[in-house]
Amino acid sequence: MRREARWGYILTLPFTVHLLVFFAFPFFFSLYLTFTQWDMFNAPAWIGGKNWVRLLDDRSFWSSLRNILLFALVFVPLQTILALVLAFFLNQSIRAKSFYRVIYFLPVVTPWLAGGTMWGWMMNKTYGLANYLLGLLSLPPVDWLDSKHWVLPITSVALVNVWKGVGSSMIILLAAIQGVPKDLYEASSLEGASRWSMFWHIVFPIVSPMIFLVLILSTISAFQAFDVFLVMFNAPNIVPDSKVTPNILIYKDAFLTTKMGYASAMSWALFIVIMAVTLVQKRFEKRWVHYG
Amino acid sequence: MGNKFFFKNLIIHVLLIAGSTAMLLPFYWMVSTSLKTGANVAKLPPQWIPSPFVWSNFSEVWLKVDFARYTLNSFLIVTADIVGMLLSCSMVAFGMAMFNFKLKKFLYFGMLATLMLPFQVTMIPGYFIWTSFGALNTYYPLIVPSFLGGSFGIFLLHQFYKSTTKELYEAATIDGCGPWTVLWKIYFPLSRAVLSALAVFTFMGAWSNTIGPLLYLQDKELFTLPLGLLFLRSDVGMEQQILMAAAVIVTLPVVVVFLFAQKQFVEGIASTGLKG
Amino acid sequence: MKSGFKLSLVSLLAISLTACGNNGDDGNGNSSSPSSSDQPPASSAAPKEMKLTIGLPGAYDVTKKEIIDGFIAKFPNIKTEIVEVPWADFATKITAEIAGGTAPDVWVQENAIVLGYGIRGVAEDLAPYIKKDLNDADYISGLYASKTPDGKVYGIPHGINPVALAYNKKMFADAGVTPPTDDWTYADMIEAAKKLTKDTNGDGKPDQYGFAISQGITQGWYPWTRSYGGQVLDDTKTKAMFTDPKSIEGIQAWSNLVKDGISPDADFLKVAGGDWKAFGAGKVAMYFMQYSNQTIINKEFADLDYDTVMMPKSMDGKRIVPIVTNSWVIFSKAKQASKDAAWEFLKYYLSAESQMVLAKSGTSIPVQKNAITELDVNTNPKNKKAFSDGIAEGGVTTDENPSWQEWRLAAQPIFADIYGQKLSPEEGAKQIQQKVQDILDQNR
Repeated sequence: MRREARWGYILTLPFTVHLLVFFAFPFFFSLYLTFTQWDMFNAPAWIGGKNWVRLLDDRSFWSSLRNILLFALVFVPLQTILALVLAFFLNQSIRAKSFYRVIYFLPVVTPWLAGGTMWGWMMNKTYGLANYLLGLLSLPPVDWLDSKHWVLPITSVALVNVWKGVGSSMIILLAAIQGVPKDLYEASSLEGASRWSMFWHIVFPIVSPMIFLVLILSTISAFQAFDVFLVMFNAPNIVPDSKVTPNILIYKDAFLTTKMGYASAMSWALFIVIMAVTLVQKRFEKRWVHYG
Repeated sequence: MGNKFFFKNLIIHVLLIAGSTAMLLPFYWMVSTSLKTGANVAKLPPQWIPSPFVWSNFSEVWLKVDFARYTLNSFLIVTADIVGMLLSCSMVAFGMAMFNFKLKKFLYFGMLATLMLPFQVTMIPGYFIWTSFGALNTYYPLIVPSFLGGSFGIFLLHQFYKSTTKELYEAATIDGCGPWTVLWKIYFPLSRAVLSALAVFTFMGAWSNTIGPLLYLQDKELFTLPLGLLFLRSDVGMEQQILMAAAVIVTLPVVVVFLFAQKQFVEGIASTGLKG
Repeated sequence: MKSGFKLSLVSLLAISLTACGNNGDDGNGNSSSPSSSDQPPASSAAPKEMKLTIGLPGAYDVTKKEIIDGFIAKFPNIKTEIVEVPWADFATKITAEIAGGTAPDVWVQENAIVLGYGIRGVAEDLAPYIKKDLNDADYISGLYASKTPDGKVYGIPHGINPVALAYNKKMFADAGVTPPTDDWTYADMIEAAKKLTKDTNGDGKPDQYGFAISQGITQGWYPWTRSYGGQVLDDTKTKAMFTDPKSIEGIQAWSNLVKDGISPDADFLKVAGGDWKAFGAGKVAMYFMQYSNQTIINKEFADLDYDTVMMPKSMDGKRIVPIVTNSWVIFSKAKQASKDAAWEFLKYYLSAESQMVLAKSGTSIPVQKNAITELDVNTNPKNKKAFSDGIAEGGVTTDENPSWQEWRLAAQPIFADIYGQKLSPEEGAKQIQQKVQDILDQNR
C-alpha cells in the first residue's frame, strides 16, 4: 500500500470503527424494517413493499415534506447570511465585540421552553407584541402561527429557528475568519478598500469551506426540524397536517403508536431526500468553495 | 474619513443592539421567570421585573435533586467527551483532508449519513448494541463514541485543514517529520480557534444531553444534572418558574464556557502559511 | 489488498465487540436487573428470595414513597430495586426497554397505553391473579379500568383521576350568581357562564370569562359530545360516531362557547398558561377540573377560594364523568418469580393501608372502597364527593381501546381547528369520522 494511503487508513481508523460498530447496524436494520411491520416487541413481520406503497399516497407525509422544504428554503439561507454578517463584524476591532458575541450566542443555549413561550407570546394573534407593533403602524394583525394557510406559520417557525441557530453558525464562521491574516486586512485598508470588497475578496474565499459546512449542516438539521414545531404550535405530539414535519410523524409512529416499520419507511424516504439535496450542494461545491 | 467612519460604526452598533434585544428577550424571560412566584408567571401583560423577587424556586430545585453528585457526574462525562472529541476528530479529519485513499469517499458520506437518518429510528438499534455489550447502567455509551470521532467535529476540522495551503504541509514535512508529528505539533495548535468552537459544541451537547443518560442509566447515583432536573416536570401542569430555575442552572455553565472559548477567536492570528 | 482490508475490518469489529463486552460486564457486575440476569427462575420453595424491579415514572411525586417503603419493609425476602424515570420522558425509555427485553418487572403508565400493551403481549394478563387473591366487593368498578371485552385485565389502577366542575366562589358572589349544585344541567352552566363573562376595563374585550373550555379530550370534547346524547365510539369501540347528529350537536355546543365569547379562546389560554392557571388567577369562573389539578392549584394559588360540584347533567338527566387512570403493568417477559413478586407488590398497593395513603395524597382517587371515604376534605376543593360520587354515578373512560392513542392523536388537531372557529362542527366531524374510522379499521 502506498505510504500516503496507509496514513489515511490509520488516522481515520477511529471513525471507521465508529461507523462499523455503531452506525452500520442501525443503518441496515432500519432499512430492513421499512419492509416489515414491527411493534417493537414481537418479531418484525415481513410485508414487502407495503409501507412504501402506503407512503406514496400518505397525504400527511407529503404535506410534511412540502412544509419542511419551505422551512429549509427560508431558514438555511437566512441563517447563513446573518451568521456570516455577524461573524464578519464581530471579528473586527469593534467596541464591545465580546459582549455581542455572547448575546448572539445566548439563544443557542436558551432552552426551547423559554424560547417557545416568549416567541409564542410575541407572535400571538390577539395579545402578541408583533401585532401590537403592526397596530401602531395601523396595519392589520397577522395570524403568525395559526393562519389556515400553511405558508405563514411555517415561515414564522423558520424565523424563530433562525433566532435559535444563528449563534452556532456564527461561532463556526468566526472561528474560520481567524484564518484571515491580519496583514491582509491592513494592506487592503491602506489601499482604501471598502468593507464590502474586503469581505468579498479577502474574507469570503478563506471562509468558504466553512460556509459550505454551515450550509450542509443547517440543511440537514432543517430537514429534521422537530422541537421548534412542537414548541411553537404549543401542542405536544399533536400538530395538524398543515404544520407537521416528517420527524414529528416519525416520532408519532415510532414512540406513540408503535408502528416502527412505517416510521422506518418515512425515515428512509426523508434520508433519500436529504441525501439528494446534499449531493446537489456537493456538486456545486467546486464552483465557489476555495480550498488551499 | 473620521466622521464617515464614526457614522458607519454607529449604524452597525444600532443594528447590533436592535438584534441583541430579540436575541436576549427569551433568555431574560427565563431568568426573570425563575425569580417569580407561580401566580405571577402568566400575568398579562408580562411582568418584566419579578415582584416579589423569590429565590425559593432555586432552593426548591436544590433540595429536590442531588445537586453536587449530579454535577460531578456531568462534569466527568463532559470532560471525557471533550478530550475524546478533540483528539479523535483531529486525527480523523487530518487523515481525510491530507491523504488520498480508496475509502475516503465512503467515509465522507458515512460521516454525513450519520447525521441524516432520523434519531427516532436509530435510537432503538443503538440501544440494542449497548445492551448486547452489557453496558447498561454504565457511562460507556455516553463516553466511548466520543473517542471514535463525531461527524460534526470531523467535518469541521476537515474543512479547516483543507483550507490550509499545501505549502504548509510540505514545509512541515521537509524536516523529516512524519504525518503523526506534523498533526500534533503543527496542525493541532494551528486549529486552536476551530478546536475551541468544537469544544463549545461538544460541551453543550454532552452537558445538556438528556436522552443518552435517560436510556442508559438506572441507578440514581449515576444520574447527570440535566437528567436529574427532568424530574422537576411533574405529570400535572407545569410549574414554569421551577423549570426556568432549573434551566438557568443548566444554561449558566455553558455561557461561562463560551466566554472563555470565544477569547480564542482573536483577530488575525499570525499568518503562518494559511492561505491568503 | 481490498479483500485483505475488509478482513481486517471484520476482525477489528470482533475485537471491539468483545472488548466492550468485557468492559460492560466489569462495570455492570453488581447491579443486574432481574429480567436480564441469568439466574434460573426461582422454584416454589417456601420463604423464597425474590427479585423485583419497579419502574417509577415521575418518581415519588407520582407514587408515594410511603407506599414503596412500606412494601420493602413488609417483604424483606423480596429484593426490591426502584428505577426512577422522569414522567414526561418515560415513554421513550420504556419503548426501548420493551424492545430490548430490559423493562422493569412492573411499572405505571397511562391506561390507554396499557390496553395497547395487552394487544401486543407486553402486559401480563392479571385476571387470574385478581380472581385468586382479591375480593371484588372491596373495590369500586374502576378496578377493572384495563379490562378488555374478552375478559383479560392488563393493568391495576394506580389511581383514578375523574373530572368535576370547579368554580370560583368569590367570582360567583361578586356577580351575584347562585353557585352551582350537583343538579345543574349543561344549560344551567352555560346560563351562569354568560352572566359571569365581563369586560371590566372597558376595552371591548372580555377579561373575565364564565367558563374555560378545554381543547382536549377528557375535559373538553369528550364530555360535551357524550352529554348532548352523542357518542365518540360505539359500545364495541370499533365504530366512530362523530357524525351522529347528537354528537355534532355536542361538538357545536362545545365550540359555541368560544364563538360566543363565554370561554376564552386558544390565544388567551396560551398566554395565560393553560386553563388551570386562568382559573387560579381568577380570570375564569368555572372549568372542568381533573382531580389531580388540585395539588398544583393549591400550591400556586393558595388563596384561591374555590370548590367543586359534580359534572353537570346532560339534557336527559344522565351524567357523564370522564375518568383517566394510570395503571400498573406487569411485564410479560419477566421471570415467573419476578411476576409473583410484582403481584405481591400490587396486592400491597391495593391493600387498605396503601390506598389510604393514596387517598390522603390528593393526586388521585383510590379504588378501594374504604379508602375513598378518607379523601382529605380539609383542603380545597372541600367537596371531594363531587369526584368520588361522580365516578360512582357516571364514571366512564374516554372510550379507551388499544388504538386510543392513535385515533385521539388523529382527531385532536381537527378538534383544535373547530375550537379555533376555523372549521364548522359539521365539516370537522366529517373529517374526524373518516380519520378515526380508518384507524379503527386498520387496528381491527
